[in-house]
Amino acid sequence: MTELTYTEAMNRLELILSELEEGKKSVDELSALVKEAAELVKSCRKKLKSTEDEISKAFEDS
Amino acid sequence: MNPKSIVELNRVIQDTLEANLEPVYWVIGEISDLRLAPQGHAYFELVEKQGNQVLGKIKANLWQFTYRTVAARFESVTGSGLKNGMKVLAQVVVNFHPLYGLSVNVKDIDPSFSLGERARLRQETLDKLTQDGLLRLNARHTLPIVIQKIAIISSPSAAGYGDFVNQIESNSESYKIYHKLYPSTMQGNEAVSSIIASLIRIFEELGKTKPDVVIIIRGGGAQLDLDCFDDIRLAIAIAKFPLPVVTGIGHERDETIADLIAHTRCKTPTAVAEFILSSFREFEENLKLSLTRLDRSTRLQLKNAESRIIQVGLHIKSNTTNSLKLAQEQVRTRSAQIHFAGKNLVRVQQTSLDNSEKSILKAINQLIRSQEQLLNSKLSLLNQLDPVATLNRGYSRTELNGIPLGLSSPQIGQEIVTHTNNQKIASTITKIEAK
Repeated sequence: MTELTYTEAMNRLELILSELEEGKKSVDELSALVKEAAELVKSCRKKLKSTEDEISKAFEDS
Repeated sequence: MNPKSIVELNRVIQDTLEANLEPVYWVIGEISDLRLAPQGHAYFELVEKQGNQVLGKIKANLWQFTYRTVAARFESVTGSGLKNGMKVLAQVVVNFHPLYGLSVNVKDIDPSFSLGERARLRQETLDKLTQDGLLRLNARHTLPIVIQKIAIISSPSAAGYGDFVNQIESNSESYKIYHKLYPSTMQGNEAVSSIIASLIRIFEELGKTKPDVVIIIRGGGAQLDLDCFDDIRLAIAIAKFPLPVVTGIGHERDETIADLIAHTRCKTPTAVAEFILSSFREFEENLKLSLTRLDRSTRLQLKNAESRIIQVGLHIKSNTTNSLKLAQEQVRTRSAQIHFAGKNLVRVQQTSLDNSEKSILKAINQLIRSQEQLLNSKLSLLNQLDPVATLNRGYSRTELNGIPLGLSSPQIGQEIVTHTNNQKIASTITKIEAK
């Protein structure tokens, strides 16, 4: 699986959440979706952190 | 009656005269009809006049030896020889000759009497000329500044004339003087009329020759007969002449009347030449002086102008220097102002940039915080939706063919699976009741 952009990740997360809310999936499927969603959240957090660092770094020199 | 011969009669007259007359007499008379005999004797008449009328006369003679002595002394005292018309005081011996008749033999002539007589005549002439306003009439003419053209009255053979011409022609300054000679007899009985004739000729030629002055010169001779220059007719002619007359008669005694009447009198022809040349020299001197003055004054003016220029230059320089300084000062001030304004502008921009930066950082921060919150909310929702958590709380979930039981239409006899937190229980449907 290729790395998703922040926006794609957010969209996927949104989709997973709505699927979870629907509750139509089996428990096994749900567990897999939760795991994926948790991974997506972690990835997004990481992206946010790195973005913040980059910005700080960019403004440091001025 | 006893008639006498002429000779006897004359002898009686002679005896009577000799018996009764003084040995010598001093007589006053005018010389007339003067003749010089080849042997050196002088014959003349002594006349007494009243005006033009002859009152009396007597024959007179001067024997050679006496004549020589008397004439020489007379000339040396009076400056003039014996001549017709001259009044003399003579010492005479009355003589009666049987053949030549009555005459006086002159033994001596007193020159001082003639001198006095001439002075008296001269004074009479002067008085008359003064009375008629002629004495300084010729002197009223103005001499030209430079005397360039001259009419000369002189005798061409006179040494004085030759010297004069030589002097004015070979002057060291090479001044050119135009001269024309009007030949005249300068002594003797003819002199007066000859000189007057020359003056008339000059007058007639005035329009053609245009001379500046008339000069009357003569020179040379040891004994000079100057009486013609005392003549009133010549004096009148000179006085009334329309040009200045300059004399250079060349004599030692007092001025003649011609000298007194003339515009300018010089002693000798040489002096006249010098006088004429001096007018050139004086003119040239004045010219040189004027040139020097001109030169000096122009130099001075140039110098003044130069120093004025220098002053103006300095003035301009100091002015421009001041202006430059002022301009430089202004440039500096403006530059400082611009620098300051620029700095200010930069500072303002800096501040605004800083603010922008802060705003951006703040916005980003907010964005990130909001994303974090979003993520957190998603995460908590995820946790809530996680079936594991629900099962852990004691709930179970039952599925028919992998589909939640609530979403399927179960039939009796069908197998269902129930999930708990730690078990998977399979069961068969035995009863279905609607709720």
